[in-house]
Amino acid sequence: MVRLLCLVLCILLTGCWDRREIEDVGFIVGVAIDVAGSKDSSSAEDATQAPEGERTYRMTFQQVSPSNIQQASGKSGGGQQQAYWNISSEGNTMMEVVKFIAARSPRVPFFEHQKAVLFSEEVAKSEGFRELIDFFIRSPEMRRNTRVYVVKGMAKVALDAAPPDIKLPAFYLDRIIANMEKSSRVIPESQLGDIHERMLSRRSFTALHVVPGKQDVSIVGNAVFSSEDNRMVGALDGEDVEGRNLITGEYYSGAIKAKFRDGIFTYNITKVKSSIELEDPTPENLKVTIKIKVEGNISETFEQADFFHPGVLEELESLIEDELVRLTERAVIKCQKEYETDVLGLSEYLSKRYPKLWVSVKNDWETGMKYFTKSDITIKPEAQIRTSGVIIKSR
Amino acid sequence: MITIYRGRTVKVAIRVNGQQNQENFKRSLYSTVHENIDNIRKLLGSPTDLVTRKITIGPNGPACGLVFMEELVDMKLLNESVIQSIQGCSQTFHPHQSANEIFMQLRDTILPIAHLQNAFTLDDVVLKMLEGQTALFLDGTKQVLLLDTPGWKERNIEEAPSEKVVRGPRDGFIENIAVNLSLVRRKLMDPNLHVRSLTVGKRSRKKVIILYISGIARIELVDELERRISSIIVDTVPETGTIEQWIEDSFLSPFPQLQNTERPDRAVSGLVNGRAVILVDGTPFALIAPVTLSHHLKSQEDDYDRWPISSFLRILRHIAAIISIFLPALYIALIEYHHGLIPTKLAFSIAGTREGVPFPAFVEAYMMEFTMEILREAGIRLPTPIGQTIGIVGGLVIGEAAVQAGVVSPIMVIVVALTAISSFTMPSYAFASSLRLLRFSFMAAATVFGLYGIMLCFIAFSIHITNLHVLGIPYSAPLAPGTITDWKSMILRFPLTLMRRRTRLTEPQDKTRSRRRPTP
Amino acid sequence: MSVYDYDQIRTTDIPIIVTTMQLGVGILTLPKIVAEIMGSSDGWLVILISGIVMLGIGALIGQVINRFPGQSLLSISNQLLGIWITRFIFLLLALIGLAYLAVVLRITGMLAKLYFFDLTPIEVLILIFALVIIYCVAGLRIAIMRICLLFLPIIIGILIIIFLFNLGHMRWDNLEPYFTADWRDIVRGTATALPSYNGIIIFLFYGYLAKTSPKIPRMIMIGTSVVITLYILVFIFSVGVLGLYTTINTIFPTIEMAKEAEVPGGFFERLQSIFFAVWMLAIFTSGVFALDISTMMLESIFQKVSKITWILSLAPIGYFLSMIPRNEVEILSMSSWAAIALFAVAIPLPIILLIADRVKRRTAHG
Repeated sequence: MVRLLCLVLCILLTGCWDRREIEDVGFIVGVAIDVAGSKDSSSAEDATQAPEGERTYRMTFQQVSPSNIQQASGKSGGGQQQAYWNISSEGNTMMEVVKFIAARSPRVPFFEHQKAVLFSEEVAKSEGFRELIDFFIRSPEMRRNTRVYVVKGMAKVALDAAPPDIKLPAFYLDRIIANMEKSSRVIPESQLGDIHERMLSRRSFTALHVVPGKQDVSIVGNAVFSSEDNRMVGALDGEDVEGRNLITGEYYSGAIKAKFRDGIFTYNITKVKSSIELEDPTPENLKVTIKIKVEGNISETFEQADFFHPGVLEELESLIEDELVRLTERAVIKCQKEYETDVLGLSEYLSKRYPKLWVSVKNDWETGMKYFTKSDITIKPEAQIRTSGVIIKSR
Repeated sequence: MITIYRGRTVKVAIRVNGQQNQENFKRSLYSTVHENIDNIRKLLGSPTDLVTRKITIGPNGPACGLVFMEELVDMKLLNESVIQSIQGCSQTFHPHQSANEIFMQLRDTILPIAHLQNAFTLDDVVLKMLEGQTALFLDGTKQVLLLDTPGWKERNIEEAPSEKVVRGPRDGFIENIAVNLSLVRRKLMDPNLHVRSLTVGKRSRKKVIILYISGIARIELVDELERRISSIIVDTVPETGTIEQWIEDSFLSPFPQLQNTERPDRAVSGLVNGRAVILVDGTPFALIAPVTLSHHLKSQEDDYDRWPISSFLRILRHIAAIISIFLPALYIALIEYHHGLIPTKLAFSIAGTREGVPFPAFVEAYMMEFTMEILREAGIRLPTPIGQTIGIVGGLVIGEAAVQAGVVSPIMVIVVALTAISSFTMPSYAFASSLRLLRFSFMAAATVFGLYGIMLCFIAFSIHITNLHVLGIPYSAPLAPGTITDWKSMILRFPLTLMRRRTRLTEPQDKTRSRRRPTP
Repeated sequence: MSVYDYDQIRTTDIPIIVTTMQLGVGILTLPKIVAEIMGSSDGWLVILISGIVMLGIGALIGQVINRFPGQSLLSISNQLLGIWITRFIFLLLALIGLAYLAVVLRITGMLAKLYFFDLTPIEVLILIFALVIIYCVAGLRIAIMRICLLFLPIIIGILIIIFLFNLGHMRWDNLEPYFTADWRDIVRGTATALPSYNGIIIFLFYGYLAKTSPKIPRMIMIGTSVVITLYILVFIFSVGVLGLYTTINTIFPTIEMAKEAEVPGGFFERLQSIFFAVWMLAIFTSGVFALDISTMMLESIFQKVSKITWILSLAPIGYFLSMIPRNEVEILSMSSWAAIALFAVAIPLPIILLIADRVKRRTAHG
């Protein structure tokens, strides 16, 4: 009898406070954060009183119009409907702006399907980055694998830039990253979860650096953030990124070109293995050797030679190795001397292999005594050529 | 009426209602045929199908009268065996024999009827006459002979319409209990197959028998069943369903605790596994007791086909059962509460197609489910050729039209169609019906509290299942508590060579199911 | 019907029941509290050590049950410790059970509100959960055992799914450096991890339902070993997938780890809601045991009052207790107090009983 009573009582609890129809949900797939007050601010906002000394930001949210996804073919054009709606508002905090957006949008903002967070360079270089990113990590709606980008120029432009056949620009960015394994310059991505972990452990990190065009977005490299105050201190692009990838070993595939006698040849890397070794553990004068082993194939060459001859192969290999040193030294100089941020993986290595040493240097790694900057990094490359394609000579 | 029950005799009298029949009939037998016939006619209210036939025995002998209900007796047998033999034997009677002696002679040496007995009370006579027996009165004696000459029309043995199989015997029970018993005996020629017979019903006196294999089934189980059935006091037992509802352990539960089947091979399978089978005269549906949850998802064919396909089909059925219960509820929960759970692209497409739909998701769901139930009920009543078409037409056209009109979203139609199809895979109709009830409960839970509600509803039903006992056996067995032996045929069906032991569910005394004979 | 043995716990079912008794709310925060105390990934060592200690306790529980087969804890304790000490201990246990119930209710409500709902008042969420717990406790005790048997495969199944789908995200180097803890950390860590195995003691209260068998202590230990394995795996995966600092920093790292799990093909995104929905089953069983033990204790002391009366009186008290903590910090501190209290009162119980038994035997002979 008690059981019946319990069940009946349950039925009386009908309330459905949280019932929300799916078509009333505004799926936010991308958020772009800019500094307020720049040329593009259009609509008048009812801003609240800004606390003393706090900056105002302009957030743009990309909200999906689901019914238009089937029909739309991309951007707004004559007669065709856009699959998304970028809505912006200004405020000091994320939550504030979300409330403003909710007041203007016919749908309730919903962040569980968010794919991208974009910061403009200006915001990234200020304390805005670390302050605003807190909202994304703290909220239970977010996912830890949402990607973080730093945009050159105005971040909201990137939310509009997409090729004609892609319906949602936020997804476009996602797909570029997914396809990156095929492209030559593999840029390590940055997800909210990783950034959270690195900020907690007081390490430097990178985020993807993008430049939006009219109908596309190019990923140019990495924006480097220092561990001290989580601001952007610089960017690694092009060859810097390659060099860095070689050092950290996160290199899926790529190509190196080098000069061979009178022409150029291209070496296609298929495998990279890098290992760090500590030579001299005195903190003031750390000596680190990074061994990089690459394997690959000759995919293209202007100058012909007998690629079956071991001497030729050795020559090529040493040319490749020189090129590797050049690339990695670029990265090392940029990171170590110019930006003074350790995104090369040295801190991980030390904290894992030599924890006692790490404990003693970690507070002065990039700041203070700057042990990272003072350390001596040597690269030892080793290249191996597997094949030269299906032929030996083409002429 | 005499019922033998555990050595005691219980007399049950006929009750006659209505003032018009109270006139003048007496509850006793007379010595003359004429008076007896009159009496019976008055008692029965002068029905038109009461037939009497007087035959004089010998040239000067007493008259004997045959009284029977037309169409309940086998006229051919009556004519050729009874009447002919009485008429043809007049030479064997002496003129000075007493009526009793003539009676004995008729009974013992003349009548070529296999089954006959004496009757001692008017009640016996009338009740047996209503069962198709013929009463033989003799002038000069109060003794009455009852001849067993049943001969009414009934259905031929054909395949059970509610449980069709692809492979397996195609005989099904019919409405005659003797034939049904014979069908079981034909499949199970085991002298240990014991039969306990009961009569239930104040007005209709239906014969109910309990079958069990002694040595496998627990005698306590059969005793308990007998106790329960004999404690039923009803007017009539038209169907085993009546008995089922009276003897089941929990009338509040949505789950069936006894299984009904029209197939003898299913009954035999139950018997062999230590269960008892209840047959009722007048209905082709037999009851198998006790039965637990996993039993309802098993089909007879699983035992006849080979184990890979049987296992696959069983798993399929389990998944179908889960879909049938949870899918609409999950739909409601995901669309209304947990939008993050839906994959992103699907979420957009659902949101897009639901744009113009006026009703919230749960209203849609309830509407479509009710429509489905109405269609299903309607489909049963319609004559077969139309019934099929309506099923298809109803589903497709109404669904299409509804989507075109923007009343429901296409996803809802898919969900409802999948659910309906899944529920048709259940081999036990009673169980499919209870799944429908479960489905609506889960939908209600999902409407109010989303996934949280579904989980709590699931927990509540699990509590119910584990607390429910059927004749002492927990309903959740063999899931919980389980034994390896029982699991071998619960979800998968293990090869027969690996299933040595009988199911431990009913704790049979004979534990071995099958073995291979050791080869020399 | 007494022909069957369906009203007793079968010996082979004991590991399943024991495992279900221990898995509950603890596993959700386990990686955090262990990683916090240890400061490194050596938490698994601590979990293992405390688990081994509890294996010993489990064996002792089995011994107590075997020495007094079929007797309820009330009768055992009355024989060995006397009526008044028994009553005192039972009263304490009833209160602790109530506190546990309150913690379970509150944490469930809080998590449901965090992950499933937004506007629904937490009181309502807790209320329906409490109602279902009442429904369960009002049924048969053996039915509760059967529910454990039903639910455990699903619970472990979802854990394994989470582990499998997180293998891709697992970064083994997050676990380095290995073996940096010193003995002080290990001792402190063991003390922190021990209360996670509290559930094992619940079996002592249900021992009378078990079929008599010499294998009972072994079965209890098997069940506990499963729990140890799962706990270690959860810890390793949590640190490997989320990273050490994130694990320390997240309140429920197990659920966050479920968030990371990715079904290949990417079609199922938020595994954590499904994980939590399934984990509700485990939390539910904890709540049921808490209320049932409270009821059992009070029933034993005041034998004239019926079980239903106790259930209906205790449940509202538990409900109101669950409303007392004001925020997460208070909830977690209430839960750790309840865990320590249970550990202090209940875990020594089998030891005390066995010692008392030995003393009695010696005085009987001598």
